[in-house]
Amino acid sequence: MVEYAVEVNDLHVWLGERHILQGVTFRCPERTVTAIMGPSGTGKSTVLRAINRLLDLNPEAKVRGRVKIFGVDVYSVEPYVVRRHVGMVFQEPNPFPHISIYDNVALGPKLHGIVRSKKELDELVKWALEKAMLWDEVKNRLYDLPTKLSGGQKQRLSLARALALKPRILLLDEPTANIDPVNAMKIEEAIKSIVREEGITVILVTHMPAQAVRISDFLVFMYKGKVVEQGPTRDVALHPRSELTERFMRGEL
Amino acid sequence: MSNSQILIQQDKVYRKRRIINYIGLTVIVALFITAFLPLFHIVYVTTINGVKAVSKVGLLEFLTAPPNPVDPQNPGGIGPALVGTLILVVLTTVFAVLLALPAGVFIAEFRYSGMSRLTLLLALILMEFPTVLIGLTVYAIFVERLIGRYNMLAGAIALTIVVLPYMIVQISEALRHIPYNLREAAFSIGLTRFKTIYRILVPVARRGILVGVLIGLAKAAGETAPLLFTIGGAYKMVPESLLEEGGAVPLLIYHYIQQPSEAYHVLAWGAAFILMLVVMGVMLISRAVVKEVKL
Repeated sequence: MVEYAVEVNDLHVWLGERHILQGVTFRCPERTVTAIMGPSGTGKSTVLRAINRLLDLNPEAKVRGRVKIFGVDVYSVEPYVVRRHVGMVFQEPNPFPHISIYDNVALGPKLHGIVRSKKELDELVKWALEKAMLWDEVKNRLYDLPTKLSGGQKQRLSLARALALKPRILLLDEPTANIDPVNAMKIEEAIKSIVREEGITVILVTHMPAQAVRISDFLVFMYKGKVVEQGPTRDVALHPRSELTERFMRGEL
Repeated sequence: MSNSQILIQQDKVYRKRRIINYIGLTVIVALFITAFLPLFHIVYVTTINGVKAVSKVGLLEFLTAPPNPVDPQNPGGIGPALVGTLILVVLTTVFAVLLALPAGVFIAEFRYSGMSRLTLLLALILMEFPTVLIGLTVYAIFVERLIGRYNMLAGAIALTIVVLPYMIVQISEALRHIPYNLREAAFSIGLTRFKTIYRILVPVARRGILVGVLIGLAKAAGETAPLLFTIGGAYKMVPESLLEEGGAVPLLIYHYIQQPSEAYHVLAWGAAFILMLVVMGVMLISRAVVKEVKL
């Protein structure tokens, strides 16, 4: 039987009066990359925020439906527990500006008591920065503030911060949308290696069909709050059943 | 029309615009001067009179000695009143920060709750409250009923109530200006709301928070009305406990400038000069020392 890392079932989300998600259903098998693709304003980011319960921060948000990670309903447990195991990287690079590069990565593990000694913490920080392909660029200035880093480096630091908690699931909300192509390639490389070597399940939100095809195993195409089409990436990309999907893949939507 | 004619005609239009620009600039500079003239005037007059007063006995003597206004040749200094102000400012700052920090955080971080909006509204109302009424209320409770005499603690309580709303509003504004995505980042690594606030948000907003504390501190050092009925005005000696009568620099200025003798006036001007230096110094030093977090 296939083990699903994430199962989203008939998910509805309202933000105030607006019905943002209208019955979204999809499943992500463990150790795979699922790309959620679609034009802007379709509700892709809202799906991610429903999975790790960041929507709780918005008092206007109302959620109906079911979201399970490894079979556990995320709305039946504390949100902090969910977020501890479900990492997230945002569209805007957002390292904490007041603490060093090292502390940005180390803060989560320290506060969650994941490490027992300074040596263990040092190793974890190095591991996370290596996985995010940033170690070589920052190893000599770990105690500098992240404000001196470039946009792409900041984004990789955000990825390292998420990885340092050794999450089982990683949510990526258009992580390469605001950075240059070289940095974007590095992040894509990092994502592939994370899934391959660490067995983390990734959900990637993107509006770039080419990126979805390069990285993902499964594709979910969303339009106006609904899932239009989903399946293995090859099938959806090469033989789309819906005209909307086809038009989006051609760059017409 | 030839090309050169077009150029000359267009230049005429621009000449008119340049003149309007000069007029506008003159008006703005005039308004700037009008706005800042009172400030320059206060600083100038206080400095001229203050330096004259302080140099009469020497700076160290003026800052440490008790006043001796009966001797115009050697009127003494404002030592005990300065210590009184120091005590009041420290106490007020401690009390006010302890109350304003949680209140400011509550207003900024729970901004959608009705209680939080009510807190902000009450703070804004309190800000507009006549400070003399606050002094009177504290007098009725802490001087007349509870302790039975003028005392420094009552002064600090009255000052706390006066500066509290300024600090609350400033702290909540400082927190409000932090970009939303930093909150999301903190929550996304599983931090609780409490840890997000004290590990991320408060340190990021530290400069704004400190400015709020300093505004409060400067107000506490300069306020007179809340002290009128609370600390009594004993300028010759430092109070031995917080439950005793004491003095403060602004109150000394208020009392001494009303006296008919010249020696009192000398002391008042000197005290005003020192007060101005202290308040401005605190502002400048802390602005230079505390670095802003670059976002």
